[in-house]
Amino acid sequence: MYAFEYRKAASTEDAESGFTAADDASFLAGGMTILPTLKQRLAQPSDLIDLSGIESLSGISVEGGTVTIGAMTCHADVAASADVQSAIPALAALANLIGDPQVRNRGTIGGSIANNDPAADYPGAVVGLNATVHTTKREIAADDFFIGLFETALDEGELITKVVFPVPEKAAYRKFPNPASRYAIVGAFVAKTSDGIRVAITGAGPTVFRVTEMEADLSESFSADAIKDIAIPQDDLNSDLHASAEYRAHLIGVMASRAVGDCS
Amino acid sequence: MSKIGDAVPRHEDYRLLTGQGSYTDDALDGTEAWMVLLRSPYASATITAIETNDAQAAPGVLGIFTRADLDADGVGLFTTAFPFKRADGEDMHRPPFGLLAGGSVNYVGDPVVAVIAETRLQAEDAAELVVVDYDDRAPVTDAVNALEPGAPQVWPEVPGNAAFLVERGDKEATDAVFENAPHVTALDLRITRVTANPIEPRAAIGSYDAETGHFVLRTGTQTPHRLLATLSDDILHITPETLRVISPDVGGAFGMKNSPYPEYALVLWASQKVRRVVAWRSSRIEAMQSDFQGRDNVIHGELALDADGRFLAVRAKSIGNLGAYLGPLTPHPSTANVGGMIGPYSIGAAHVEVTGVHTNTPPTAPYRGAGRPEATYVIERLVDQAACELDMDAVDLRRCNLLTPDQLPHQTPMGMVYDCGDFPCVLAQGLDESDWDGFGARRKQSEANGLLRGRGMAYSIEIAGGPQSGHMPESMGIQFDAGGNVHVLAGSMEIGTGHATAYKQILSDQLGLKAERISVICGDTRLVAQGTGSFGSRTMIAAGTAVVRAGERIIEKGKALAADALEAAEIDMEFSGGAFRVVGTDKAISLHDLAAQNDGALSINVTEKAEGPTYPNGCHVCEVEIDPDTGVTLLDRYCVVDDVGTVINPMIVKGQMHGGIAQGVGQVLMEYIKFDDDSGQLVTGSFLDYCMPRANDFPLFDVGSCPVPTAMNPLGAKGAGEAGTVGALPVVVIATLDALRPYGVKHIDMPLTPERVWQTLQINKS
Repeated sequence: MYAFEYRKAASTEDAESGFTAADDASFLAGGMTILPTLKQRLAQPSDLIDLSGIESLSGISVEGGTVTIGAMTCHADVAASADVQSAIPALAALANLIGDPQVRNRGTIGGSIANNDPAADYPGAVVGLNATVHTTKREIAADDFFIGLFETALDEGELITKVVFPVPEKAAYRKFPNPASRYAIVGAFVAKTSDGIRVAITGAGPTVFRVTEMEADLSESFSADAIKDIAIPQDDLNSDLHASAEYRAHLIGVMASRAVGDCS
Repeated sequence: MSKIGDAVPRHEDYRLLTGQGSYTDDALDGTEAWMVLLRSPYASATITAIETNDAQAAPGVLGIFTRADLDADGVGLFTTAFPFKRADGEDMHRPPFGLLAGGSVNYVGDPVVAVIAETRLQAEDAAELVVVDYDDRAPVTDAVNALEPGAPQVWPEVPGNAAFLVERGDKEATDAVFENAPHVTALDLRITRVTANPIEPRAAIGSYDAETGHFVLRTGTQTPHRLLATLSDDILHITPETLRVISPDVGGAFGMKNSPYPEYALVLWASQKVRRVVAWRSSRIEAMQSDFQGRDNVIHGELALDADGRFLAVRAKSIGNLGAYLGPLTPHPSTANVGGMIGPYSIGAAHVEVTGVHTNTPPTAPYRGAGRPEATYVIERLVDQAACELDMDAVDLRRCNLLTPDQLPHQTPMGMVYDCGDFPCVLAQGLDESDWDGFGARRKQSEANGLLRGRGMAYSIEIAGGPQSGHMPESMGIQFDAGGNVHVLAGSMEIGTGHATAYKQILSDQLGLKAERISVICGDTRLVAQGTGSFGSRTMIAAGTAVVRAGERIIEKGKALAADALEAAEIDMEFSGGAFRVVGTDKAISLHDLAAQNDGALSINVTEKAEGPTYPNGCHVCEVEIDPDTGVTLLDRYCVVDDVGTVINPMIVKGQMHGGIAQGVGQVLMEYIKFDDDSGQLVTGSFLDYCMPRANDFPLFDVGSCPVPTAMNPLGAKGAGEAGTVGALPVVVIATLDALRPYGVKHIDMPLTPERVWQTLQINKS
């Protein structure tokens, strides 16, 4: 690990001004990605601005057909929230599948989606549920938020404050974990919402994506059978030691079908 | 009073489980200097220049050293004692294995420069300022590829990369049997490379006292005395009396901590250079790159049978991946235990040929089983395959070929002598305890859930307390202090296996000593003068023998002293229940009291050998469930009935079985070291990619016992440390194949990862 300045921000304004003032700052949410990166000397920020002291960024509320989760809320809190469990059980279940207990008690929703690891779970829920990402500057629709591999619509220094999830009629998440890391090799989030059916796939490609063909067929007939013959092109899928693009393409079908089954 | 056979809780556990263990790093007091190693980023390259000026000037730097510095000081090389020959009959080449790389680097992670600084952070910063120029070459990491014509050459002195050829058994006789055999089953098998990943990574603290000229090394090892000998004799060229090795608690060894390592010698040598205590601790990434790794064999095996399914002969050609360098024990695992390929069967002839191959990978070395699981894997896969080809029941096939108790002792065609055992009984108990016959109903249930279910059995037998060619003694001191307390000074090493508890049980049973008045000391060459160490499932055999023999000598000595104390004739003394008595009277004196009255007179040091190695064996049965849509293979049931001879402590034996099974199943289902073929980079370089098994990957294990005590040592114990792994490797693959065979699958290699199982099903679908 290289030496860096550690600052604990008291408010989002404090965090943003600290960020601007520093040479090359990074925000520290749960630290589940940046701390291992620092330990391996793969990053050398001048300053680390810790967001954990900003109370307004944490918390869960359910009202008016939405579930709002503060950016600094840890996965374990989402998983254990009776409100989330009752409003969007698939979201609580997803949170409970992230990493291990240590990760779930440190890692945050804001940190996860800001990092946009292709194998992260939360992007599946954010896109699958058509959530809105609130930042210190604006509101960003889920479909516009995740741009590419580790890339989001966030500007330099822009902070996520909360994520607002519309409550769906039904939703389910099925995950095929990497056996070693427990990251998603393929995660399929299927939701029946007032705006229609959404199928979001995480883990399989460079970033989360929707399978519109599945969405269309499921709109016709919401059953696992309806999507069983949809072939997913392998061209843009990830391929690694644990799963070839061919295998991932196949798993998308399996996991999406199972998620549909869970919804019915 | 605890006895042999009682499930006494381990005396070690309270301390270890409440965070009071003392591992290597727990001795740090903050004043130590730190060593960081700059390691090779290439699998194969010539070092053309090393520039250290900027690094020397970095804050806190105390010294920066390269191979040239070591050579200038006359620091020696690691060498192996194995006297193997090349295929052409010449002595094998021993590639120079220094503490730091010489003119070339030969695997990713090969240490090149040692940086010593005030703090670890400063040493890491300085290491980044060292500039090493490399001229990199194409590497080869796979042993089969390394034998191909035109493959990159790891060492110019080893053309074709074949380091040695070792043959065991009788080639002529075996080939003759094969020529006329009614049926021959053949398989090509790959046994993956894995690494131990102990919770406590390797660490070392070296200190040099300029006043006395004495060195102290603190590091977790299985063999403190052997490590001392290697470092003093071969590497540092100092008299053994000037080096003390302290091995404190060891957070996982698994054979990996049986070998000496460059870092251990470097902290000592550097301590003398910079006149500071020097500490080093492996990072996880370094551990993945530089711990000696396990297994990595490609084996062609054949089994000859007659028309009735009687085994006639077995033969195999094995390729063992040695890695780039030969550590002292590197040639051992691929060669020493190939005799296990006979299994528990009556087989007339056998021949095994092992080619050791250099590649651009870290050295391989013993890893739980060290050749035993590999050998058992070959014979058990062959037997299972033969049953399939002959349309016979695999259990019946085994049963009709098992050696029976009346055929023992039996010398196998590989020269092992199975002294005792009741294999048919163990097999029957294994089938019974595993509910072998209830499989049909469970398979139906799985199928109803859309899952495939397979069942397998494997019969394992392995040598313990060997090697075959010359089993080794162990030393044991038993001292009584003025208070009558007993101190056991063990030459064996406690590596988390509960030996101290077992020794206390033995002494309690034999001498009537109270367990709470016995302390066991090991792992310090200053306190324990002699020792061999703990490896190869040997401790209860070798050290257990030494404990019993020491106890016998104490009784002998004690009779004379007790006769004096009780004013009787020595011939009238008897020893029972912890006291010497005058026969036929109520006059008695306890051993504790006698020792207290005769300061030091009862203390004794022994170095003893068992009569010979032993052959623990067992019947492993497991069932797996496979999701055909994803290929995920779940171990659903596991049962083993083992004969490890006399069980000193059933709870400890069960613990050893559990750990051994988990380690074997881990290798079969998920763990493996993978190098990139082109670059030689380690692909599974962290726990993100190297899959370690978790508790929830396993069902509850059912461990049964069918002990047949051996006469090869006074306890009758056969050794339990490796038995679980030996059987787990074949049985899980056999069960998986059983699930896949109805879908046309004939063969599958480990690791049985979800994608491999799914792909195998797809290939056979189309």
